[in-house]
Parts: sequence; C-alpha cells; structure tokens
Amino acid sequence: MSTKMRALLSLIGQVILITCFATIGELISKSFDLALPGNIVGLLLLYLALKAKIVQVKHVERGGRLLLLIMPLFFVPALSGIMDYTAFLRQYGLQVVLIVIMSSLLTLVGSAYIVDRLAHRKDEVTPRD
Amino acid sequence: MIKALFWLILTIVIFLIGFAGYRRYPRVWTLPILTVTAAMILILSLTGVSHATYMTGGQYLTKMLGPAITAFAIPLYTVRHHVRRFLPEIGLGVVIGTSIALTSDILFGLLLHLGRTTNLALLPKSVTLPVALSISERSGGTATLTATFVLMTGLVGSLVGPRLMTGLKIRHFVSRGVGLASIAHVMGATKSMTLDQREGAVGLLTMVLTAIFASILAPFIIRFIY
Repeated sequence: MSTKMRALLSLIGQVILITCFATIGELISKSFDLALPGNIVGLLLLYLALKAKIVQVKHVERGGRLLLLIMPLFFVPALSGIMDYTAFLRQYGLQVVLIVIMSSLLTLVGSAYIVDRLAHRKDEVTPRD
Repeated sequence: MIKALFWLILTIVIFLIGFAGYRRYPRVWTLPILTVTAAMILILSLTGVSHATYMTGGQYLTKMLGPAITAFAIPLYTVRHHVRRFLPEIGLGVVIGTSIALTSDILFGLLLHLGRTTNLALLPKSVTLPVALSISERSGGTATLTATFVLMTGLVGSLVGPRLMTGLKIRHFVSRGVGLASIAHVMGATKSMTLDQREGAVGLLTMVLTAIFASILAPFIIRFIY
C-alpha cells in the first residue's frame, strides 16, 4: 500500500472516530433528554478522552482539521432552503437585518467591554507568567 | 436514491470549485458558504427542483455538522493553556453576552411585530448552527430561517466586530475573543483564529460555552414571553 493511500485511509479513519464521538453524544442527549445537543455532548466526551489520554491528539488531529476546513459545505443544504422564503424576506427582511445588527452591537459591547476591564485588571494584579 | 446521491455529489463538486475560487481570490463575497449556496439555489430554480427534493441528498451534509462541532474539542484541547488563566472572565462574558443576545432578540422581535415562529427562529442567532437548529426546533421555530439568521449574524459579526472593538479600545485578547464569538459563534472564533492564536482559543471556548448556556437559557426566556 502506498503512503498516500495509507494517509487517506487514516484521514477517513480519524473522521469516523470523531463521528463516533458525535453519535455517542447524540445517543446520550436523546436518551437522557438533555438540554445540551448531542454534538456538544460529543465535544465534551472527546475533550475528556483527549485529557484522559484515551485518545491521542495525533489520532484525531488531521481528521478534525479536515472537518473544520470543509464546514461551510455542511451549511449549504440547510441554508439554500431560504429559496422557499422569498415572500417572507420581502415582508420581514429589513426588520430582521435591523434586529441582527442592533442585537449584535449590544451583545458585543456589553460582553467585550466588561471582560476587557476585568482582563486588564487581572494582568495588572498578577503579571503574566 | 440515485437522485439523492446526485444532489449530494453535485453539492460537493460545486463546493470544491467554490473553495478553490476562494483560495485564489479571498474576499467576503467569495466565501464558499455564499457562492456555493447561491449556486445551488440557482441550479434548483433553473431546473425546477424543489428544496425538499434536494434535501433527500443534502440532509447527509447537514448531519455532518454534528461531527464538525464535536471536532472543535481538538483545537480546544491543544490551546487550553492559553485560556485556563482567564476562565472566570470568559465564563462571565458568556453569561452576559448570551443574556443580552437572547433578551434583545426577543424584545426587538416583539417591538417590530415579527411573528411568533420568526421570533423563535431568530432567538438563537448567535449560537453555532447545529446547536441553534436544535434550540429552534425544540421551541417550534423554522429551521431554514434559523440557519439564515445564524449565517447573517456570523457575517455581520466577523466583518464589523474586529474594527468595532478596535474603535472602542477593546484590546485584550480575552475580551476580543469573547466579544467576537459571543455574537458571531463559529465564524467569529474562526476569524479570531486568523488574527491571533490566543484570541482564537478564547473564541472557541466562548462558542462552546455560549452553545451550552443558550441551550439552557432559551427555554426559560421563551416560556416567560409566550
């Protein structure tokens, strides 16, 4: 088997391993009726597995990078559903854009401003190690 | 079955073209998420194929969002040393940010007379998409609208956010990471990653914590309002 072939197989294996964590997370979320979605439960499980050295970073790193790199692809089908909502957009489009902008500005200023004060103060009290 | 496979493969091929195009000419309007979505809508409209038919193949891509979110555990793990010291600040920022985002969405929505389903679809706009979808579905919002609002917020946030924070003299990597990711979720965190690795690490953690906190807080706010 060529090295290229082996690299491709290991990449696919890594993606499958990550998908297993997501699926287990999904099962846990469903069966215990958790408020947390399955993919976040999967994230926590994978994090714990890395921390406990059950899974090594090199066993999932490249697969994870691939998934994150091509993530926009996974958004396309859900997003293209907007084609069924042209009438809605004509009626509410402007309001929605306004809300998105106003709410985002409030959120950004509110959270970042306070955290900025706190973070600077922490750096002054206990200088960076 | 063959049809579903056709739409699935077509989407992947067009994505690869769009991705290569973005590599060559990286601009906001050449982002694959925009160009590829526009291309798919165009193809569906021209061929008269409904979105529901398209989804017989497309749903498999939507399902892969789950593993993609789970994969964030890896960068989160490798950069954990950057964020450990500021864990309380990040946590507080997430609680403040998510509370402002959710309440302002629903209040503005009521004020501007959006319908109930639209308002519910808009509520999780600052939460990373797969989580936003499940929040929206559980409360009775429309999935497609939620996806659109989440993307819209992500674009607005990651484009305007960095400049706005610089203008407001918000310079610390912790506050910049929290600010950007608390509005623009995964797109904000990815943007932060390209600006500064520590800021990106904060952004990733913020994204995850926001998803967790919003999943818990949203049902309470909805029950209170409706």
